[in-house]
Amino acid sequence: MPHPSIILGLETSCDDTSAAVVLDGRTVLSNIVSSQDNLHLRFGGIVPEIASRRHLEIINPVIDEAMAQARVKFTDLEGIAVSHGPGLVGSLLVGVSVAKALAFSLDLPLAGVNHIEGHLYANFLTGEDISFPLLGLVVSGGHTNILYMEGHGRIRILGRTRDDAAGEVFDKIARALDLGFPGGPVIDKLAREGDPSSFAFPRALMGPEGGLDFSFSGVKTAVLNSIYRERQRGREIDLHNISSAFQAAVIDVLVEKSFLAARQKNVKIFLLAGGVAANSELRARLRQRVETEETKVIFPPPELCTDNAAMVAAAGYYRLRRGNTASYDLNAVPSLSLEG
Amino acid sequence: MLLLAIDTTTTVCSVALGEKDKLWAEITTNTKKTHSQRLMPAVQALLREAGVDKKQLQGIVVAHGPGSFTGIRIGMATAQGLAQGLDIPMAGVMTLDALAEGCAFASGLICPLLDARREQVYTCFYRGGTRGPQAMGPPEALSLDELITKAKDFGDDVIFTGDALGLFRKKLRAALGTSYSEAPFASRLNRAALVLQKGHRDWEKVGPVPAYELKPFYIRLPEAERRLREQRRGQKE
Ligand SMILES: [Zn+2]
Repeated sequence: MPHPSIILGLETSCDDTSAAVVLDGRTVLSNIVSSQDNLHLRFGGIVPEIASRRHLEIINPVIDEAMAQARVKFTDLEGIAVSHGPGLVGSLLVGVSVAKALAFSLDLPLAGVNHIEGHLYANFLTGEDISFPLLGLVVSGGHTNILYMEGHGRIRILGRTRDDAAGEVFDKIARALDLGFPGGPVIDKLAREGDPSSFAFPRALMGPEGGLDFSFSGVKTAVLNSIYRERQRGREIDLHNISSAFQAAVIDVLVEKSFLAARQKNVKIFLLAGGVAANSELRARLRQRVETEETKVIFPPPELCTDNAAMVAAAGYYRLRRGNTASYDLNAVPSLSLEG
Repeated sequence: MLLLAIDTTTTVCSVALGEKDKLWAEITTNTKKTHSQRLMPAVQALLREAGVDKKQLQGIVVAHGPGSFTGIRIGMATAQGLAQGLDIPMAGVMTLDALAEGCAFASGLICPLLDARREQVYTCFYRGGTRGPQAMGPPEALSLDELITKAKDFGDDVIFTGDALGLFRKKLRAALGTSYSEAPFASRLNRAALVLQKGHRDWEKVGPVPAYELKPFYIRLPEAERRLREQRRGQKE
């Protein structure tokens, strides 16, 4: 049997509706992402019911657009991949239902992809040589994980956040500073002209008791308190400085834990992934600290860091190549485990 | 004209296949498993049982609400995926219309009730007849009191149907007395055969909906949207 080579990926796990066509798990032929940011703005956060409604409205046109841009027909496809968790259940169900119906209609094998695994696979679309075993740091609005991967589909979680995800904290701080949503890119930009030592924010779980786990609720509370205090005193907050100091506190921990993991596990490859992986400071610092002659740090271009279907298609390609196909009772699993 | 019908708007997962005036097959389950796990396997089994290849399908009719928001979306997303993959047209059937089909023989009024939560039902009154049930107004979400007032205003016998009947049965019977009656349980289920029946009739009259233009019929706004509007109204006053 020939290996599946052109895969259609679907991604609807949160508030982005995305469809992509990927060749051989490596080459992005198209990657359409329809963001819902504007829809949720006036609610100050993502409203699951509104996200689900929007996914249903636009998923099929988004698929058509991905097919057209890739210049392929349904008959050219050799598989369908969809992320079925973790995420918002109502959102996931739209993508999963459409993917199953398409796979059935077109007699194509179906792959159920773990969304976090998908983020890691965005790195396989960079053209870099990636060998196993490898380490990965996945940081986004929903997750903060250090992962060890022995081969395709063999993932172990070495560290996770005990409270807030790193990206979530960026969003909350941005909201407190009235910087809009999502918060990551604005804070990244402001921080470039700030002084990271202007505020002293805590770095949590840095001792041996923390292992490779993270905790960001402490730094969040400290930053929110500083904002409150400055406002109480009627002082104008220096957005550059507070962004810089806050970002440094988060990045210090991410980078140190990554360094620790790399020292524990002897790997040639360290992958950075997830929405926060678009942060320029994190990229630079991780390269400085973790990259050695033996270990190469790889990260995807910014458009492949945030939620997208190309990464899902890439992960799905390797799943299908292993013969790991999903059946038509594939369900959306909001807290899908990576290690299953 | 061979159509596939889907209804997952309540706890019932139902799929049916047939031509005009002829049901070929129907699979209806009312179990604890989620629609997401039941629906596609049911479609596959339905076609296999009927000995039909999916490429023979000429159209899809889907119950597009009102009902459970998630149920509506699973049915519609599946129907849309099938229509897109098979390159065939689709159309929607309103769930209350389909339920009324199950009681089309009634001499008085027909009133389907679907659970709308918050002590309300999605409902609509129909008059039975040989041309199929005729709606007496737009579908809406009503409280029990509003429903009783409406029924009394019509001043006619009413046969109630639908999955929310159990919630209001006692009070409706007490309030309406001899004008109250209810459909037997097999006619109260949201069965795809009923969607198929109505779907075929509509298809002849108005045809399918242009691609991607079928809208889910939620009736209600999302909770967050409703609250935001109430807040704004409060601020204006
Ligand atoms: Zn993500």
